[in-house]
Amino acid sequence: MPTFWDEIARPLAEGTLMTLLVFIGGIVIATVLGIGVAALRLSKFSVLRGIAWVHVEFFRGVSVLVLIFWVFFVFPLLGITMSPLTTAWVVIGLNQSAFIAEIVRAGIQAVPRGQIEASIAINLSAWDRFRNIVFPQALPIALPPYANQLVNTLKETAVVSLIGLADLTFRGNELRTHLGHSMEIFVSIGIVYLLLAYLLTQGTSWLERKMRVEPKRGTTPKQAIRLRNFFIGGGIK
Amino acid sequence: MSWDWAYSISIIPALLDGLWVTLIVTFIATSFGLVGGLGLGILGSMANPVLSRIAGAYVVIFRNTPFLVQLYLIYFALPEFGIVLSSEVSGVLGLGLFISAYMAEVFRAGIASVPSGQWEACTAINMSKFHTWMRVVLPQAIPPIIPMLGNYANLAFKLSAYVAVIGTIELFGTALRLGEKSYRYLEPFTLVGLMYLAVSVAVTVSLRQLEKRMQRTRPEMTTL
Repeated sequence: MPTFWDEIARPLAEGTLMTLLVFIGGIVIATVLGIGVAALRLSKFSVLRGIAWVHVEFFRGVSVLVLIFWVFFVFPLLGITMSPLTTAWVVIGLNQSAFIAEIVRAGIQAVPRGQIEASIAINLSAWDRFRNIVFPQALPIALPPYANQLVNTLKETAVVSLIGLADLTFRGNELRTHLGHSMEIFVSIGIVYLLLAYLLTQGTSWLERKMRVEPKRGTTPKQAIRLRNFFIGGGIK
Repeated sequence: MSWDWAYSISIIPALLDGLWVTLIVTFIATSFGLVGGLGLGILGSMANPVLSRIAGAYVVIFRNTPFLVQLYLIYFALPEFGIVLSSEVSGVLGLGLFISAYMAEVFRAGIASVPSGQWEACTAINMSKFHTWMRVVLPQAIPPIIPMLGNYANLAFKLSAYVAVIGTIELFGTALRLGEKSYRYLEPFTLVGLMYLAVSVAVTVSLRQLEKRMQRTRPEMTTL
């Protein structure tokens, strides 16, 4: 059935690729920015903490739909023109960075105070303290809520269809206007989103299992260190 | 393009009307979400594997697909089966169904946090299932999760902007209409963004206060 492939399957496959493209760009920006904002929130200087607080409250408080329309319609009037894809990346990145910053902050703050005091006592530099003591312990704490946020980001990418970016939702809506059969089309799209979300959840829980550094049954301390070095780079050999 | 104060002031009444519609949409959808979420939460914590699976599947499906797709499904696909709903009803229904999936998880966690001794005690004094739920389990399960439920009400408020996409004239829909009419997008979108931000931040801050107060005045257990 050539019509099925050309008229239905191909647009949906292209839409899925666009959804993934928007998702990956958005999540990379959000993660990098989120870690930066979390670092500012834990800073010694109240001004930096204040800036980070405003960032988090602003981007958590404003609806992403309103934000994307604002950037898409108002920025050109101010002389800043961005392609729809760039707009999508920037908006999703900024919006999600606020949530990721809070996840990272909570993870870092959950590391027991004694760990930091101990590493100060053995005279580790601030960088070593973060890299070898705080970060490896914060990561497994932050990973489950981060996985949750990945799924939220994936769902949020549907908003880009409203500024004309041909993602999965956009393609589905297009098919609906051409062919009708809304039920079949939107259920199929829903299944694709469900599958993508499932893959994301499975991927992160696999990472989580790999990242457990404490020696478990069947894992020798040596293996544990090797695993740890594989994922976060060597420090203690 | 510079900011036009006269124009901004002239559109404020229309935007406030829109805000009112948004608040009504949020209120109805949240009430729907609370009732649905409680029902699903109770189903999900039942021993009956069929019922708890059904509740679990509902939660997984509604939490892992975009709200926009769900909204399209209700608004565009249901009429094919003879169920024609207006854009307002579709929007409220869609938002309520979506939020109830989130609230179900909260209710389920709240119910799971009630110590099993409470259940056993009810069985021991021969309380009926209904009374166990109404007088023992829910009164202990619900108060601690109120701030969490509030967060999801806030999420419903922010997501309610999506119902403009299927044609409801609420706050965001009003801004879209104004923009199309006057070709000025700067003022309507900025004002609308600020309105969403103001309500949402106010709710977040007061929920945080509520949470703090609740932690301070947690009722002590009565002991003999």
